Order: sequence, then C-alpha cells, then structure tokens
Amino acid sequence: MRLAHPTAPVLAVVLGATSLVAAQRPVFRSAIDSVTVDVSVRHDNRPVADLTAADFEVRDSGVVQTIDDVSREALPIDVTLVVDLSGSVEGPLFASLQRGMAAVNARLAPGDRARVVTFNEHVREVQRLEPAGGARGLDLAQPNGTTSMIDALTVSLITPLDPDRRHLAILFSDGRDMMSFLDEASLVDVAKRVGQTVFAVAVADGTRAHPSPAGAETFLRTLTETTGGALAVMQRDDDLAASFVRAFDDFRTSYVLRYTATGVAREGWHALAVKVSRRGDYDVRARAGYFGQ
Amino acid sequence: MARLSTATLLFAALLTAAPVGAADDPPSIDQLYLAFIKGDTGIVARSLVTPDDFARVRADLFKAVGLRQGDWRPTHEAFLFEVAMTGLARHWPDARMLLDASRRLMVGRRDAIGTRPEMDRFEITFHEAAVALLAGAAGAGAAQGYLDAITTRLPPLPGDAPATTPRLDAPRLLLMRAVVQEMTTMPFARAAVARDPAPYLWMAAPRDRELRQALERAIVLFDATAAAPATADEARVRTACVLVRLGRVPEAIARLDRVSIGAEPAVRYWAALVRGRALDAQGDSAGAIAAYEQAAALQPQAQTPAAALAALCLRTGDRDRALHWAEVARATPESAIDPWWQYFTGDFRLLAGFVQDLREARP
Repeated sequence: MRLAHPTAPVLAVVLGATSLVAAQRPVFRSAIDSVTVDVSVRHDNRPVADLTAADFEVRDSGVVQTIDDVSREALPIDVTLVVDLSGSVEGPLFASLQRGMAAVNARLAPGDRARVVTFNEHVREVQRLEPAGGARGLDLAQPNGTTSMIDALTVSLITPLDPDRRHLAILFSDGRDMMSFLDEASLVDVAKRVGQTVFAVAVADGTRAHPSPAGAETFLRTLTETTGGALAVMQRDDDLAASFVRAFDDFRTSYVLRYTATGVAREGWHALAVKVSRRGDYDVRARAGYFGQ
Repeated sequence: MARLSTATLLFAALLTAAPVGAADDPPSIDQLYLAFIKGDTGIVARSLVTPDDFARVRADLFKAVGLRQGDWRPTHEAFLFEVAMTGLARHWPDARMLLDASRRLMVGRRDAIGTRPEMDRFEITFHEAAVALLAGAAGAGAAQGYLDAITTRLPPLPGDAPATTPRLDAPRLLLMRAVVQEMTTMPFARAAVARDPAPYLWMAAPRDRELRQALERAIVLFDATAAAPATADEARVRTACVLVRLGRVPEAIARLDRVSIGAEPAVRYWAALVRGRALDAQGDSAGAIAAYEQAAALQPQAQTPAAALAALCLRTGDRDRALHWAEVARATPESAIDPWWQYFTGDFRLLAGFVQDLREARP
C-alpha cells in the first residue's frame, strides 16, 4: 500500500490566508484548520467506490485525525493541461498528443473546466479556464524549439484556485529539460504549497517493442507522488490518449476527505499518511503533506 | 540540434530584411553575386529557398570558391557567408562545408596580420559572424571546431602555445572561446551531440567529474578575457554563472559586483538573474527578489525572472505577488524574446549586427 496525501488546507479565518490557499476549499471556509485531501483508492487497478469515513485512517504529522466528511465525484474539476510543444514532439507524437487533449476534453462533465499551457523554451497560456468544449477547437502551434519543462509547470501551478472545485494538472513532456532556470527542488516546493494534484505523461525515446526510460523519470515520479498524482511513462508509439484519460478518470473517481486538524502545530510542513483500514490490498494515493500557515 | 524557436525568428528577420520579391528565373551564382555587391543583399535569401535551389548552384559555387584564391576580396567573403548563413537556416547540408571553405579563403588572404588594419577588422568581423552563426544554428561543437581552426590567428589563452606570429586583436573571439567551452557543458549542447543518459538541469551543479572539470576550464578562460574592456562585463557575468553552478556563490557575487552599469542590456539582465540565483542560494530571499525584480524591470517581456519571482514569493509566503508574477510569466506575448534564452547560444544574439557589417563591405 502506498501512502498518499491531501490537498491544501484552509486556514482562512484565523490566519488571514491570501487568495491562493484561502481560495482552495471555501466549502469549509467557516472552519478553522479544516484540511481537505484527495485520495485515490484502487484495488486490482480499479477504483474502489464504496468506502466511507470509517474505512479511512488519516495521520497529520503522525497524529490520527477524525474525518468529518467524505465525498466522491461531488465537486467540479478544473484541469490544466501543461503541454510540451518543443521540436522533439513533432510528427506522429504531436498528432497523438492532440488526440490525448481532445480525449480529456471529451471527459469533462458539465461544470468542469479546462485550461491549456504550452511550452518550448517559451511558456504560454493558450487557453484560459473554459467549460467543456473549449479545448476541442484549440489550434496548437507546430512543435518547435527546446524545452523549459520545470519553468512551465511552475508558472502553471501557481494560479488562483476556485475554492469550490478540485484542481488537477496533467503534464505532458519528453522530460528532457534543456532550458529551465528553476530547478527540481524549487518545483517540488511549489507543488507542495499550491494544492493541485499533478499527473505526468512522460514520453521516452523507445517503442513498445524496445522501451526506454523517460528523461527525468525519477524526478517526475517524486513530483507527482508528492502531489498525490502519478507518472505514466509512454513510448513514442504508445497511445497517449489512453494515458490522459486514465489520469483524468483516476482523479475524478478519487475521494475527497475533510478533517479538522487537531493535536498538531499549525505552522510548517504537515506530513500526511492515509490508509484504508478495511481488509484488502488497496493502492492508496494522496498528497505527501501540506504547509500550514 | 534542437534549435531555439527564437533562432528561427532571428533567421526570419535576417533573411527577409531585404526587398521582398521572388526572382523570375533562377539566377546563376555570378548573377547572385553581382546583385549582392550592387546592394541587393536579400537576393540570396530570395533565390536560395528549396533544396533544389541550392543543388542548382552548388557546383558553380564551390568552383568559384576555388577560383577566388588568387582574387580575394571582402565582398567575396561577405557573399559566401550570406550563402552559408542562408543554407544553415534552411538546412542545406553543405552549408558548413561552404563556411569552412570561406574561412580558409579568409585566413589565406595575402595581407599579413598587422599590415592592413581594415582587412584585419574585416577578418575579425567575418570570424565573429561565423562563430555567432554556428553557435546559434549548429551548436557548441561546430563553433568550437571553427574557433580551433583559427587559434593561430588569435592571441593565446592559458594552455595555448606562445604566439610566434602576429595575431588579430580580437577580444570578442577570445571571449567566444570561453563561451563555447561553457556551452559544451549545457544540457542544450550535450543533447545535440548524443542523448545524454543522465540528463541534468542547466543551473544544477553537475555531478559528473568531467563536466565539473569543463566548467573549471571555462572559468580560467573567462578570467583570461575579463581584462579587455570590450568583453569584461560579459566575461564576469558568465564566470559568475559558472561559479553559481559549482556552488561557489561568494566568488560569483564578487564577479557580479564588478559588472558595469554601461554593459550591454542583455548582459545586465543576465547579471541580475544570476545575482538572484546566487542570493537565493545564500538564503537571502529578499535580496534575490530584489535582483529578480531588477531583471524583470530591465526586460519586462521576459518570462524567466517572472517565473523565478513566482516560485520565490510563494516560498516566502507572499502569495499575492506569486500569483501576479506567475500570471506575468504565462502572459508573455508569443513574439517576446527572453534574452536568457540567448545566453545559451553565445554571440548568436549579435549576428544581425555582424552580418550588417559584412554586407557593407566593399570590393
């Protein structure tokens, strides 16, 4: 069983948190130290749908917490697609990428929204948050240039988060960062602070018959697991659409747990551990922790 | 190699600077040359577009290069450079061979170094243009190869044999030798040679011993070029950048403190960015934010300082400013060129000026 983790806390009232965090979960804005956690639970690689609060154990900084509420598929989703359009993506891979983006767009439910950020050495928000259907007609520039993956994901994650929604980022890249000014540690720090779940689809140079590892695979695995997301390593002839859809569906079907943090210091890093106490072999994934204010 | 999308923009500007209009009949190489020296500098870019265009003139072109040995003129060199540059921009496989042939013609000129200062100046400009072109369009290895081929015409650097013949007074080319050494350590350049099995990030300290040695060598070369006023500022900034990568932050800041306020705008911008990085590494977040804000003020359309400020402001708890700077970074216009990207391509940013000087050469 993998330990996992929560989305960001809401400490608005006492701490006067500013927009980024305060906006994350205003559903609970009247509570002090109310924490929400997205938790993916799978058994035999399928989502588990019938869990209740009694089936979860959440530890905040090692202290067991009382879960106030569990919901599933109740809140709309804001998904940000952060897409590598460097020269290495040209050709069939580009067509596959476009199919993947269209597939995510097709999965959006009424109320969900999608945003698109592209990057080579230049990061561009080519589509602001729009309801379902917006990305379908998006005319992407042809792949060109080199790669600033870390800079791009950094500025993509630091956005105002609507408190009444869930937040997902799906990164697509070949993972070979040539130009970023920021580094891996900086991006992981950002990811810990913003409360978005990050999935990554990393494309390697190999084929299905002769697979090879993706560039920066270790880093991307660390990054995604820190946020409660996951990394999918694809070969260049794999179906990207399936990976995009899997990431989106995994997030959609995950649980949202809420608890009021007790018995822990308010400030600093809160390590989180989430378990399913029901008997069985479950793959549990959530954020590694959050920063209290 | 992976070419910066901004390199494509620069080429586009260079190759369309001349009057627009397609040639009616495919001109011969002599016709192209005559039009070129009469001032139609855009004739090459207009006439040599497709692989077939280059194939059509190739034989006559290289034949002409051979014939020019006894009839060398600056305009020949300027024209050949124009063809080679156009060829590199349009992926003509023989472009570098033509540039090499032009270099051999250039260094084979009859006037010895020191006898005709105007010819020395022309040769320096030609080499500067060639190195800038190769650094931006063909990578560090190509630029290194060119510089190696003209070593005996440049003042010696540490590690070179002592000079026994007259040398060109060319501080910019000496700086480029150091820059190219630095470029060989960049992920951007390494990936051009081969897929690096252990990719690393540009500003991260390289763990590989060979890479660290290459960076140490770059410091020696930069320090040797920092004495020339024309190149001192860039040498100091680039040395500081290498020192930050090696974790020698106080030495880096000492170099940055000596960068003059009159430095080239791109160099001042780089200095502010590298200072931000150095101060952040020292734990001086307020100082780093001030440095990044200075960089952002110097280049308001650049996204790099905005991204750095977004991450740093978030880390220091200033979420409103973090959101602001992230929005600034995401909203930079498509046409904006961040001079930080040009750091990776040596003197490529100066190519247009070099080319203009060559185009103004008279027979």
